[in-house]
Amino acid sequence: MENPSDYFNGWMKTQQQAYATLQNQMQSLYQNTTAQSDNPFTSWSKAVFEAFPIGADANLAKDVFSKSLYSNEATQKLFEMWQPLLNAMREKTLDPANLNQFTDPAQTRQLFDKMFSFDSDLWAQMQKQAEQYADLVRQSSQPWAESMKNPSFNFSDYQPDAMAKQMEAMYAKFGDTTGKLFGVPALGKDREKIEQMNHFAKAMSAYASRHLEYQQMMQKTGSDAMQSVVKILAEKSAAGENFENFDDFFALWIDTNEKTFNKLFYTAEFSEKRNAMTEAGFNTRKLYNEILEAQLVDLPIARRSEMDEVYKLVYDLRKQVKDLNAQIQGLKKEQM
Amino acid sequence: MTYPFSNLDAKSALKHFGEMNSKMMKGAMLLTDIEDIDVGTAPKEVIYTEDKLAVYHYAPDAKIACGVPVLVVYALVNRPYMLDIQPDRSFIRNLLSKGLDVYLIDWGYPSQADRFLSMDDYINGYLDNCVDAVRRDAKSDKVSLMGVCQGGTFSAIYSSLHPEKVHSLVTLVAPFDFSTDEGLLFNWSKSMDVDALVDAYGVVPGNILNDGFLMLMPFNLNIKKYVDMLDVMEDEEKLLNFLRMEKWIFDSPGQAGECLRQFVKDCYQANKLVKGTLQLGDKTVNLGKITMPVLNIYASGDHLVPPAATKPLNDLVGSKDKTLYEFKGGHIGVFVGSRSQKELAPAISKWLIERDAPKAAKKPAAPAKAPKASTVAKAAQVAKPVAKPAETVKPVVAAKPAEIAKMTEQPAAVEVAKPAETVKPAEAEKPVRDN
Repeated sequence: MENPSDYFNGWMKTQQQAYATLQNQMQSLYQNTTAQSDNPFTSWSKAVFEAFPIGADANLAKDVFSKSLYSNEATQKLFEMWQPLLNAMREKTLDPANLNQFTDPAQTRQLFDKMFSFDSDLWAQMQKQAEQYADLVRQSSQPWAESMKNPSFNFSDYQPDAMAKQMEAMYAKFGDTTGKLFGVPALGKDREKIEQMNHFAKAMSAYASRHLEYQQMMQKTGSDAMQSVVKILAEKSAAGENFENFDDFFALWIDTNEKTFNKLFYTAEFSEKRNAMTEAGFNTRKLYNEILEAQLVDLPIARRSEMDEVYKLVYDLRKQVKDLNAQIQGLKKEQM
Repeated sequence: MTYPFSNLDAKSALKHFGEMNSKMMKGAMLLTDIEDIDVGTAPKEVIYTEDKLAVYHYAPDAKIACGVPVLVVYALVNRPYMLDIQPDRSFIRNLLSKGLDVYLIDWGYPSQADRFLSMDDYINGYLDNCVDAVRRDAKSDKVSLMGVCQGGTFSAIYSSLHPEKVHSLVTLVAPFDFSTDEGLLFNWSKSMDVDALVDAYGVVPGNILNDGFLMLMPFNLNIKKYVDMLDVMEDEEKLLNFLRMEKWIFDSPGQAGECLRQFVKDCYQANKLVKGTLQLGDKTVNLGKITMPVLNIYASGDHLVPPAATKPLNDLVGSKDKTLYEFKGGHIGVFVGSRSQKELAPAISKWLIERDAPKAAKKPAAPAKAPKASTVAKAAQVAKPVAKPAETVKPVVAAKPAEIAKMTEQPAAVEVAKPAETVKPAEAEKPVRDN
């Protein structure tokens, strides 16, 4: 290493190697804790998790260990984003007008999904569900529709027999597919159960939509915060200051995010979207409880609503007993 | 936590890398050795139980300097052992060492069977019975109430409805005026559909409330705290302290639905306590009926219960002897911070002893059971108090809200409030959710 540039390049290479090794280890540790693997680090982590004793607080210790791994993984994602920034600062190419190149939306999204425990695949899952539903509908109606489209007779010829056969075939297809929806009982418990399931599916869909809106708002705020961080770095760079320490960058990142999100948390938009999401969630849970109630009604199992009646009765009786006890104590005191 | 990549020097980067892995391994070994995380170890005995609650009487640690027993009323949210989280950071032990006769209500863990419990049941039912139990046990006509957070709100409500049983009222970081927009919880609660929440769960799980608390400082509480933890992971005592706090944070009882519904609707959303329209059973709560001495403590850096929600109590009570005390710190720092141990607990003890002076030292110490030698040794490090004679007591009378009573003998402690962001919650306990 004869000059600063060589030294720096060598250092970066070492850093990246060290980081890559660490990341692999941490990812293995985090992701494969329950999977079979010959990776020694995974074996070690498995052994650690298995070694946690069975005690009142063992789960807490286990949980803290997991959270530590989880946080380190999130921090490593941040480190991945920091490295190009450091390079740009070094090379004096950090341009505030061109910050987007340092904040990869996919990486930012991943980071904040991890941060707020969002399911990154929720959107993909919803798309998949929608496709499956469309496919189901298509498969369901296609035979019937095709049978309508390709009659085995010509309407211009009067062929009652052939026509009847065709109609029978057509209705058979209809009955096997779309017609099933019309075949449910018009009244009664089965119909109610189906309606409940439909309501629940709608509620789930509404919850998923509200959740996505909320998730997007949080991701956008995270992206804004990241832009602010990069802007601060660019300003420092322009002023000839270096920000080469990841710990300092981490502190700046935490502080900037906390402030940016705090600002969001005070807005009406946040309250509105968070409330919409939670209310949709509560509604889904309520409908789920109703489905369970309907399913269990014929079984010799106490249902939630029945237990609530019992709880209310016990609550009222407890109060009565306490009042009566107080009266008795009062009377005893009077007699004494 | 110093990351391996933090230094320009490649050798030290690799050294740090090795150290980090080593810490992880040692920490994992220590964690696997932990079966129980001891909290709430100050010696105590149960003197009363009702349904799921228990009232504890702490073994006196010094000559009783205050004839009126002190009943600590904790919030329904979280567990009261925060006040005795570890022997060397124990608010309770500190009060005991100053000669107070301390009782505490442990509300327990509500189950679905408790979903119909209302604020009236908690305050005019349970709390009233607990007060009577302490009066019987201590052979005292009255008790002093020390309400913490929501427990402070309940204590003030109780004191207004049953003033004949309350000698003095101490409230710590308790909300009274819910109209403020300063705290996020106050903001969020205003637009919250609490009916949907309670109807969906009955007894609202503690982790739902916890999610809200963690959202107050999401980056510090969800990431930084655990990254920083690596620094203490190989030190058993520090790791245990971290785990004690972690245990407390996530040991969150469910909330009886009807009580929560009324608390959110009537207090957070309609601010009925301040308006004088809060109804409990057939009684209307009028804080003006509080006439006993009041010590109202707020934390200048409290992001859960902002000072604006706490301070107005002194304008609403009918007491002539009322004191507003500013603690420089956060919500949790009030109980576990080193400043709290040095300043706040002694100041509260002094305030109570001064008001109790005529009866001081009348009641003989009656230990519930012998304290452990190790805990006595720690507690003995705190100076023993001496009750001042009655004639030397100068109560702080009718302090205006903006005025800060300087009750400790360290004036600098109450002079200037630091901005919230500069306050280190609980000082050494940095990985703490501050609620």
